[in-house]
Amino acid sequence: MASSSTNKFVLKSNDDVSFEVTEAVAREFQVIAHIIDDDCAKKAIPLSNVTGEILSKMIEYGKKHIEEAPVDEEDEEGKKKLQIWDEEFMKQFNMEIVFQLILASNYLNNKGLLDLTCCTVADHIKDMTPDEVRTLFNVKNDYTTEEEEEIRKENSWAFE
Amino acid sequence: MMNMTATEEKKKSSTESPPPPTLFPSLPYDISLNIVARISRIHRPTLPLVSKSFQSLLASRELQARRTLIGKTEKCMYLCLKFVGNPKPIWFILAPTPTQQKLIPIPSFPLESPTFVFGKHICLAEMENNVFCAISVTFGQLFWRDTNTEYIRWRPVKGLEELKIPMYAVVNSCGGTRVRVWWEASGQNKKEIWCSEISLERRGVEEVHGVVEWSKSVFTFNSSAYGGFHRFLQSASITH
Repeated sequence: MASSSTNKFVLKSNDDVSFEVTEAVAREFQVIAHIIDDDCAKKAIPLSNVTGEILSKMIEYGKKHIEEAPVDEEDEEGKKKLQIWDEEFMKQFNMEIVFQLILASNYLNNKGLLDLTCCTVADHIKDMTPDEVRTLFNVKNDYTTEEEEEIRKENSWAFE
Repeated sequence: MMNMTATEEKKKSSTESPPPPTLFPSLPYDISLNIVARISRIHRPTLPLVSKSFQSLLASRELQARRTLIGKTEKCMYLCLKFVGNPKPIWFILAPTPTQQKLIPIPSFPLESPTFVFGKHICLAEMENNVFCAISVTFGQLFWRDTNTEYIRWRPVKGLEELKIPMYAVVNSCGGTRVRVWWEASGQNKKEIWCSEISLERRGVEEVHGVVEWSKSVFTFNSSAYGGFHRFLQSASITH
């Protein structure tokens, strides 16, 4: 019986970069797991929404989480180690890449990476001014000057 | 080979009616919700200003439900104070992180319906499994009584000499035998609100001893900004 550590699959990004991964790593992404289960994974699996750059990072994440998976629910040390690795892993990315990772992990359905990337964004914007948030996310300010003034007044301490 | 782009789009369009408000235009709504739900309440006061959809999301039950779902609820202490010259009482939140433990004014109390008990003068502390003492602030001091005895007799909690009176209110914020009290200290030209956490210990039938675990000045006000402190109204501890 072919075990998931010897079975290999090829994931292909939308800019034609191919990555050979073990079945276990491929299954870290639920969408790919479904493709494997549906027996549609004979050849390379094309991922139309993910670039090679992003895919390589996602595979790095997936590999780490397979190799260093905590032994069980009680393995606090294992969980902590992986959490520290996660934090370090995210430090290398600018927000543009983080957004792409969010969209890709949403698309390929990896809950762990989606949560991690969402956490990174939440952490990043928590101390931002409203203007900075608008710029980062391309949000339009739809308040009138009067409305904005009213809310500022209610929260005046926060803008001191 | 399945066409994933088409599948994805089909899935999206069927789950997205009616269209939710746009938060971060570059991200799907569900992901925006996932992000905002992870931001602590303490950091949120400036966020409503980003846009109207942000404001309505921050006040929504949907966000609350998501925070519960992903286990990001926080135990928050709220306090309501009345100031001279300001007809409207002001609500404060006590920042939950120990390093930033201070009172921050908020526009309004965050819950629509008060489905919890406000702590003001009385709360319960669980001394042992299912053995409760009622803890009360009366005449600015902390008293206790055994809830299992038939006649009601309040006795002062011992060991709290370092806390100044009057205390305003007592809240069981942490469960078990720990309670928090709010009290006031006046200095030159300023007043401070202090918060102390007290662990309680039953010593025999007639004594409850309190140990002050920590005390912090959580709010200093000068009369120019707030028009003078008038009185303490109420406090509440909510996990949300």
